[in-house]
Amino acid sequence: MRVVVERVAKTFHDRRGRDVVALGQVGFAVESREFVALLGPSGCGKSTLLSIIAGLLPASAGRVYFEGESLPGRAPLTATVFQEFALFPWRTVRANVQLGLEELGITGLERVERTRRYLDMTGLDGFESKYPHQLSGGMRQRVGIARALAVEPAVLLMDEPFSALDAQTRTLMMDELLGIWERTRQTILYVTHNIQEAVFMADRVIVLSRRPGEVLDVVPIKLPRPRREGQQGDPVFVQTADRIWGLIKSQAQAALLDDEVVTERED
Amino acid sequence: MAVERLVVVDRTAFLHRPDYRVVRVLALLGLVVVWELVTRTGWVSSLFLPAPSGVLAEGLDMARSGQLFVHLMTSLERLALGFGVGAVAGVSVGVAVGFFALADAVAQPIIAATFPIPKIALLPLLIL
Repeated sequence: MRVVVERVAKTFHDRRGRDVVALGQVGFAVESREFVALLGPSGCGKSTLLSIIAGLLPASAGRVYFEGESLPGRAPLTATVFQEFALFPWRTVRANVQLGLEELGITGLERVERTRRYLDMTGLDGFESKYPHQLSGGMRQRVGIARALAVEPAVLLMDEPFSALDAQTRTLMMDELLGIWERTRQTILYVTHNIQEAVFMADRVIVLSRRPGEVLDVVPIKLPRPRREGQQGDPVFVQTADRIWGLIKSQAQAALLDDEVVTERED
Repeated sequence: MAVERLVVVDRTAFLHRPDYRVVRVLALLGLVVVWELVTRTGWVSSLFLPAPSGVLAEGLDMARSGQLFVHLMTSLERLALGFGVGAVAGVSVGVAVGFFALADAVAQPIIAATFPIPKIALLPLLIL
């Protein structure tokens, strides 16, 4: 299914009763089987927008809808991979991955097989019985990804999934995520503030302005797939990254100097 | 497969808690009104539960005669004295426990055993 974000705006009220406009008016679409990155300076409302798409936050105006061939079975519209992993510490790796399937009421052999499939796909083979505290950050996020993939959602939402990882692990995880995407063609909306990450992985990059967030431009990435690490030196890669930095630089500077610091989720 | 369109709805709407500010004030006022009515109608004797209007009137009388301040000063004196004695003793014990392992060994089990007792429950004992 494709996701359509239609003139979505979001205004928060802070404790002193002032209005803080997090999202101006944002509109775009993510096509079925597409990998789209949502890029913007810090505090531009990226995560807010993701929460609205996931139905975890009401929009102040506009709407989000999914359209296309209806999903088979009980598949949900979205599943989210969080920056902070958000695993259940008292559940094993297997039980964490299985969680969404339990919620969907999938039982028996189907649940066992699907859990197995996504554990294997994310390289968690052999770690099924471990608990989250026994794993490294990279392995924990694999569990987060496997859990989200297992419910086979219309769109996979990823909220800066690798920004809590060290640089080397992040590079490896990006490669693996691309591998998984090549195999499954799972529709992905990937939030990041890292230009290289966005250009390396996405089909299109939606560039947001600083708060109030608005779409500055939508940049198609014309690098062939499957993507390889070596492409980061490709002239197309460098030019595209430069172009996006050009769009975002003044915005990021202005955001840095912004005197009022308002957390994105303040309500 | 059928083609369909699904609009995203806020799944957390049931968690939304409106802030009934007027109700908060009315609840308190309501309590005072009920209190007043209960004594006015004679349902509860004013010997056990004086009406709020009665309490206010008596307070004003005592303030005018100066009586209120005599009693107020007595209470404040006791309060200051109690705080002084308690703070000096408490801080001394605390410092000793922090600096000396032996003092810690003596005091810690006693403190741990008696700490959960609500202080207000000890009040009748102290008055006796």
